[in-house]
Amino acid sequence: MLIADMKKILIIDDEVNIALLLSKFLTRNGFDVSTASSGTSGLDLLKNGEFNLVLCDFRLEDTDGREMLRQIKTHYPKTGVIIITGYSDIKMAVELIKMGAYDYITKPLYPDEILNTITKAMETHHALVEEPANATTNISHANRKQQDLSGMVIGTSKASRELLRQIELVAPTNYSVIILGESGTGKEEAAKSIHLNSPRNNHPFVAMDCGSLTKELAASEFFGHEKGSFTGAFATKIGHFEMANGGTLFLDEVGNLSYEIQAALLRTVQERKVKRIGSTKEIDLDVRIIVATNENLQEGIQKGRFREDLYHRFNEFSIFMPPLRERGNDIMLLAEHFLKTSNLELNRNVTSFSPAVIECFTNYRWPGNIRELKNIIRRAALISEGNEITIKALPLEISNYKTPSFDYTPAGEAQQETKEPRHDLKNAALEAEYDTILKVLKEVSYNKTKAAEILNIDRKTLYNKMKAINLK
Amino acid sequence: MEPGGKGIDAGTLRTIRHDIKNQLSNINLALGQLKYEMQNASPDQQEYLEMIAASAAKIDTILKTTE
Repeated sequence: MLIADMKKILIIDDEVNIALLLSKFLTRNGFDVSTASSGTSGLDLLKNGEFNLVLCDFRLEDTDGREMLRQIKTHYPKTGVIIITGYSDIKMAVELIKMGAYDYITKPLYPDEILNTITKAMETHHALVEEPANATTNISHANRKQQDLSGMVIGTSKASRELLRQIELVAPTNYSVIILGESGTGKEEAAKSIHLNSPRNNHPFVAMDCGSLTKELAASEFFGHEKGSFTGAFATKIGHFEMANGGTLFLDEVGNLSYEIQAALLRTVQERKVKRIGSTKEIDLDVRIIVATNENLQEGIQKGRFREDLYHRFNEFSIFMPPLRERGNDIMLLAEHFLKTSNLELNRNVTSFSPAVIECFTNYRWPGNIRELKNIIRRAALISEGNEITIKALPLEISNYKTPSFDYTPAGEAQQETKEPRHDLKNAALEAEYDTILKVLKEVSYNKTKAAEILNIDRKTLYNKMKAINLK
Repeated sequence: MEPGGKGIDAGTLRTIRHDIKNQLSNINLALGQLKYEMQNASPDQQEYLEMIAASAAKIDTILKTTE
């Protein structure tokens, strides 16, 4: 399980020593590394195996990084690409990032800098590329441009029809949008479909999780920095605003930003210009901003935690994501959709839900919303033995859930019926981890930083664990 | 490039700089590996490693000031 989930990296560099040393360094940091000394052999390796990330030198004997990037992005859009180069050329860096490179590292290489960039790429890339692919495109809506909105919003309930209407309405405009809704209701998917259905869909959609930004890092994440502008600024960094230029910048959990950063954001949004930290040059911006929050920003404003002027800047249009429990029949439509995607992903053939499961799903409160439903179905598809998902495949908190007013059964009795002895130690351990992680995540409304703290593991470990048990 | 090293053109200079940076990458990465493998290095050994690292950093700085 762990080996299969270990992140696979391909290093393409004609300088054999660099390839060797990088490979040693990354292997010892837990990655599964392959190397190639030319563009052609790199592409051959890509043909034969899936890689999460490619580290590619810009200057190769048979081709160059630009061409490699183009090839990789065309044939393996899910694979992240970081270009390494000896030339510090900002124009080229911007061009490569617009072409889809995750980042651009200038030589000389420093091990810590590389590790940092790679770790971030793995996290962000996962958010940027894998999620939407799983959520929408795997089944039938592979066309990324004129994307059929119904691929994103699945459902026939009044709430989801209204949501669809609002997205259609606002997508073609240039309005900033606030997306409100509980955790797991699909805010990022909504933002993405606004982007894909806007005239900006040829330009980048850049997603940023403001919940996980430290105060120190936030400014350079937003605005970028010049190499050497502060201790630890090993390389020039392009900020997210610049990356999203021409396209859409999506800020998730925007309520978590510090007051100072909010001031800087406001200035950037008003002036439509950005300056990298340590630089005097202003760069013109044309970025549409979509923000999401599961907090009450109005309350934040009253308490002085969120700037009112910034709120009004963002709030040219607002969209409310309905919680799953209010979406009636959509629950089973979504459940069937996720069962199909899970079958494909896990190579299983589970085709239906037992009547008890359907009843359970319809009554449950779904505090984690669509994300919770998706995770539960993936888990159930994985552990189900027949081709039907039965109540046994559900976590206890769901199979034991009783509508509050009818809850006369002591919890212990209900547990007796559903809990089967599990003799496989590996499964038992995995399930126990799964349940604990999910429980803690829910308690902290899916704030991964907080969850990691409570679980007493670091954030990276949490991400790895979540991946290992297919939790997203 | 003429014999005697006079009049190096910008293109050549750029290539030289690039090649030096390549070699600096090697030095940095090899140093990282050495430090990792020499967990029990003596204080002297550690100092030599630091000296190499500092010189590599210095070369990089020199390159930058001529860019």
